[in-house]
This record gives sequence, C-alpha cells and structure tokens, in this order.
Amino acid sequence: MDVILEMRNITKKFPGIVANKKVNIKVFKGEIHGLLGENGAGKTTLMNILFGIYKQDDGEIIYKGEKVEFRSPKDAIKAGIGMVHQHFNLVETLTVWQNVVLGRGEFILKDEKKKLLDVINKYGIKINLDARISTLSVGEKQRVEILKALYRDVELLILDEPTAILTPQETRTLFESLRKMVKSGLTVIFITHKLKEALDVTDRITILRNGEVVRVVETAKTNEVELAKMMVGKEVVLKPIKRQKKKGKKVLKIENVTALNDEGVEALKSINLVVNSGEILGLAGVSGNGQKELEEVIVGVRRIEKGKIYLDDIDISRMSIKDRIKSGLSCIPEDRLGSGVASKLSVVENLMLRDFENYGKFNLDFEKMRKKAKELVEEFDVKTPSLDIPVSMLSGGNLQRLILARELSRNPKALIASQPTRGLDIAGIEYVRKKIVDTANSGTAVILISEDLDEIFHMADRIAVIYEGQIKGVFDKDVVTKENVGILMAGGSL
Amino acid sequence: MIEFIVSLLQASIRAGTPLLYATLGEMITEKSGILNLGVEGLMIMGAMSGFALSFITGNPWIGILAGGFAGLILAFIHGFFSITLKVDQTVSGLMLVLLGLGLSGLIGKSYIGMVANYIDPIAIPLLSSLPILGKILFTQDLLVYSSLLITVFIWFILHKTSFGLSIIAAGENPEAADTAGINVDLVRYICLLVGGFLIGVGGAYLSLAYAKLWTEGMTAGRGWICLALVIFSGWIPQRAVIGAYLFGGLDVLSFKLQAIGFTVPYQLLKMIPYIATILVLLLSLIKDKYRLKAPSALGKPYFRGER
Repeated sequence: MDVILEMRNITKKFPGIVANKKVNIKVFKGEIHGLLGENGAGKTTLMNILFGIYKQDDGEIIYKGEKVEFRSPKDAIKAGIGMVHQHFNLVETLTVWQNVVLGRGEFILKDEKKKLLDVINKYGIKINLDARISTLSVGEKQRVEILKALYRDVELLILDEPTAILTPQETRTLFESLRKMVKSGLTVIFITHKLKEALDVTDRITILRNGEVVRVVETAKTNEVELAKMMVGKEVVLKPIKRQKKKGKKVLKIENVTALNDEGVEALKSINLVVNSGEILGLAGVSGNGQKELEEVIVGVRRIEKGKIYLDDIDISRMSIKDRIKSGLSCIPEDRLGSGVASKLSVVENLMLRDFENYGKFNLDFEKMRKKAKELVEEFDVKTPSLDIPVSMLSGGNLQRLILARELSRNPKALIASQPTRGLDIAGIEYVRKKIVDTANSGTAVILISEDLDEIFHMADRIAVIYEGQIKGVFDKDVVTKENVGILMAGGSL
Repeated sequence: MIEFIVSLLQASIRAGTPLLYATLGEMITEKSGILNLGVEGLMIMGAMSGFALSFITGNPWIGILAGGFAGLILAFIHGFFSITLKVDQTVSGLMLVLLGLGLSGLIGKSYIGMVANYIDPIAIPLLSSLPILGKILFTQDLLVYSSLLITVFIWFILHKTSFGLSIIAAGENPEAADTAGINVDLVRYICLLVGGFLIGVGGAYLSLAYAKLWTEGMTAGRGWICLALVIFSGWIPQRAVIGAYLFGGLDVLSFKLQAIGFTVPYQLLKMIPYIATILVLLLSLIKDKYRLKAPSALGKPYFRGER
C-alpha cells in the first residue's frame, strides 16, 4: 500500500511539557487511521503540526513522497490536507452552501450548488444545502465542516475528536460517510480517546501516551482491553460501582411540568418524576428531546409554564435561582465552560461562586476564601498550576473536577448531573462517576442525564426515558434491558 | 390637497437622498463588522469639501467627487485605528465627528454665504409627464437616480457574489472568514472606504443639491439619523430606501406644516426618526419575524489566532 503521509521523529516542546517526543507515524492511502490516546497524550498537537498551526522543534514530515513544511493551515489546505476541529468555524447567518463556497467560487455565484451536490452524492452526506447554519444541529454543523474540506479537494482529512459532541445516531451517520469517503480514495486520520469508536471505524491505530507512540496496531487484530492497557499504561476495567441501597424519602418531586424551548415550542410536556434520597435516577434519551430544558427548569434558568417542582415538600418552582441553591439544589450542567463556570474568573473565584456571602458582606475575606479553595482543589484533585489562573485554561477533566468540587462540597439535597462524563478520558470518567455515586450514597437525590446508555445502566437505580419532551416510562434497572430502553429512546413502544 | 402631497413626496425624496447615501455607506461598513460612528463628521466634511470644490472649479460634479473623497479620507483614519491598530471603534468613530465638525467649520468659514454651481433636477422626457408619479419620481436630479442604482448594486454584491459572502462572513464570524482564506482586514478596509465615500457623497448632496448653500454644522444631526436608519432598515439595503424617504419626509413636513400655518414645534418632528427607530427595535424584540440581524462581530476588532 502507498504511504501518503509519514511524520518522522516529531518533537514539540511547550513551556513545562514535551507534547510530542520523537513521534513516528505512517498513514497509508485510503485508510482510516486512528490516533488514540488520553487527553493530553499529544494527539491534537501532532495533527496541529501537520496542519501548519504549530511548527515542530525537530523531525520531518513527508507528504506524498515529498518533504513538506506548512507554515499555515492555508499551505496545508493547498496541499490537499483538511482538518475539522472540535470548534466549528461557520457563519451562522449564511446557508450551508454559502459557508462551503466562502472564500471560493467565481465573483458572481452561479452553479456552486450543483458542484456541491456532486460532492454530497459522491460521499453520501446528508445535509440540506439551503438550510441556515443557525438552524442546524451540532452533527449537521460538523457535516458542513467536512463538506468544506471535501469541496476543497482534500486527499487527507483529519478529524479531531469528531464524536465528542455527537449523539449516538449522528456518530453512526458520520462513520457511514467516513467509510464511503475512504472507499472513493480519501484518507482519514481520526483522533479519539474512545476505544469503542477506534475499534468501530478505523483500519489501523497508532496509540499515543504522554507524547510518545506506544504502538501501531491493526484494528482487526486487537481488542478493547488491549487498547485500554496501551492507552493508559495499566489494565483498566471500569470498576463496578458500590451502591448502598436504602429506600429513602421523596426529595425531588417534579409534577406536570411543562416548558418551552428557545424557539417557543413546547419542549417539556407534563413531566412527572420523583427522586428519592440516596437514589440515582438515570434519564435516558437522545439529546434534544427535552433534557436541556428539564435541567434548566429545575435549576431555575428557564421559565416553567405549568406544573410544580418540590424539593423536600417545598415548592421551588417560583423561587429565584439563588434561593433554590440555598435550599440544597446542586447542578453539574451540560455546558461546562458556558454555564458551569465563569470562564474568565479564577479558580478561587469560581469555587466560591455560590458562597461569597459566607465570607463577609462588603469586604470579602479573601484569605479565608483562598484557604477553602485550596482545600477543595486538593480534595478533588484539580490539577491547576495556580489558584489564580482563569478557569478557561484548565483542561476539560480538571474543569469538571472543579465544578464537582463546588457543587458536591455543599452536601446538596438534590443533584442534577447532565452529561457529566462527556468528553472526558477514562481516568476522568471513573473519577466523576465515583464522586456522583458517593454523593448519592451519602443521601443525595440524583438525576443523571446522559446519552450514554452504558453509563446509565452502570450508575442508575431507576431509569426514566425521555422522548420528545415526554417521559416514556420509568423502570427499576433490574427489570429492564438496554434494548428496551433503546426502543423507547427512539420513539417506539414496548 | 393633492398638490400639497405631490410636492411633499417630491421633496421627501430629495431630503431623503443624502440620508440614503450615508445610510448605505454606513450599512456596508457595518456589514463587514466595522462600526463607524463618525457618520456626522464624514457628512459635514463631504458637504463642506463638495461645496468648496464646486465653488473653485465651477463644476458641481467635481464637488460631489470631492465630498466622497473627504468621506473616504476620514474613513481611512477610522480604518487605521480600528482595523490596523484594533483600538476601540466607538472612541475612534466619535473622534471623527468632532474632527469633522471642527475642521469643516475652520476650512469652510470663507465659503459661508457664497454661491457655487449646483446640481439641478432634470425632467426625464415622457416619464415626467405622467400624472402625479411623473412629478414625484421623474423630475429629480441624477444623484437621486444613481442612489437607487447603488442600492440595487449593493444588494447584488451582498447576495449574488463571492465578495458579498466574504463581507457577510467578515462581519459575522471573522475567524471563519479567515480560515476560509479571506483577508478579513482587507475586506473591512474596502467596505469602510467605499462606505466612507458614499457617506461623503451624501454630505455633498446636502450642500450642492438639497440646501444649495454651505453653513457651518449644516448636517444638523443627519449623520446620527443615518446610524439609526441602518438599524431601522435591519441592515437590508432596499429597506434603507423606504427609511430614508420616510425620515426625509418628516424633515420636509416640519417646513411645510409651518408654511401653511400649522404650529407643531419642529423639535417634536425632529424627534420622530429616533422614536421610530426605538419602536422598530421594540417591535423586533417582540416578534421573532422582525428580529433585526446586526452583524454578530459588529464593532469587535479581529485578532488573528484568538480563540
């Protein structure tokens, strides 16, 4: 097989760390090559070097038989390399086709859509060319980014953690198109930390750990356990979770709650749920079926149209957010950086966000706050170089630890955890799950909102399924199968 | 009565034309993401330079061009600060207002009370003899007609050309434009300079075709009205025509009403454009259909590589 890309002895140092140490990687033409490693293993750095965003300190890149040096992404694109980042670069007010031809095309736009239709049909990408970007789901936006790359005639497509933001369905669709793409001659580099996905979609996998290549394997000749071992350097099996089951009293009661989404359409239709103390209620569902709105209605950032929410028999549905927090409600929001923290404030300030009042009325006792923050950082093992850096500089896993530290240290009566492990690496996932379970064990009523059925079955005591804003059923975990929950999630009935 | 309305409408178009030029100029500037608050300053410099050059050369069209270039030069100053140096656009824009008002007063002193050559209306054969409409629409000057052509042209550029997409992208998401290989700063400079030229022409129209004289501070807040008009028309060129004629009409109405002995304090009529803009803003908040779409990156300097 032809080698399309070879990166030899790539070394890249950043202040304080070596992100890539003499990394060698060889990619064959027409394959899907997985780049597997935990967060911080150096996968994205390596690809950013290839794409011309960073320059390597040492080593060389051979692309299509020639030594190349890309000084900017523009050079890389010209050479036929495309990269789809986790963060999208789309103009929301323009349509799909306008975004794709942006910066291209004749001065007077004519047959652009026809050209695009050819690309779409060739690779089987499902997208409406005339749709405005602002009306698309994340999965569709990603397709637009991929389409942008394809329209520019790329031969090598790099996808950086493409599934982190996708629903299981969207992931499947993405994988199908990727396979079509390689069939017609494209080469794909797929960056991921999810073992299952690497096994599902790739042909070969290069495993990175701490900036070094551990091994290159053929996907067909390996398995999850082996990959996990190489990725984290030790044998990992997700530990079974120890739950203390005791029938507690009703803590959180949601009664006939109806609410609208941002577009003014009913997103929650008479929701009824009860969560007992010490219990984890898993809310399963494909994202976009009302989970976000439910989280927001409970926390108090979204108006409740009808119905009531009780916390310990007190009606909180008309309370201010502040009063709800005071009454013992905690939340680990889905959008960590957006609504979980104030991204430009420091670690200390974010940890103290809920409790300023306890540190003085007008003159805050900063010493005392720092001391408390330091304890929390140590207790929850938040890795940060300083207490004073803005939290936007923390990695995803550490950011989540910080949020856990703030929300769980308050011994809440009820906790809403929304997609708490999305995008985290194995160590992070285990940590977050353990902390949530510990919280439940100590008597908190927990609602776990997750798209990951494995996670729900792993952690929850009871499982509720949400579909189009309605609860399709609530089951004890032991009496329901994953398949049945899956059917309900897709809108079917049992 | 019909005669009154006909002459009111005819005059409204003439009064609205300087507003239309300046509004279109500000609109394409804002479309690319640059907020130029200096419209008043650019207009008054356009009015003064236009009058002066027409007086000196005897050719009003050279005056119109001079007005455009005066606006362009001030716009370039704004570009240097806001695009190249990336300083606060509000401060830089407001500075242009003060600079324009001061400088035009200083240089223009000797032209006060002078008579220059002006731009006169021409009656289009046949069309102008149509009843009612003929007088309203077809006895105007060339700059009225060209302003409508420019409106269509701007709409065409924005929606039918790749450069138009680049402008919209630069104003909505400059990072996306940059990664698509568009030179954001260049696009913004082009829009700002072309916009500045149009605003200057609007000013020159005021002294050479509408008022036919030069006095200090003669723009009398029209620049601010144009900023409101951009919002009023929701950044849509064709709506700017309606808005400009409407606001121009209010201006005319205040004269006409006084002439027939109707005593409404003219200050009240002068307030109407601003009140109308506020009402449109409120309406856009209530009904999603009317939501005004200001370019998302409007007024924000673009730093490359910033996430």
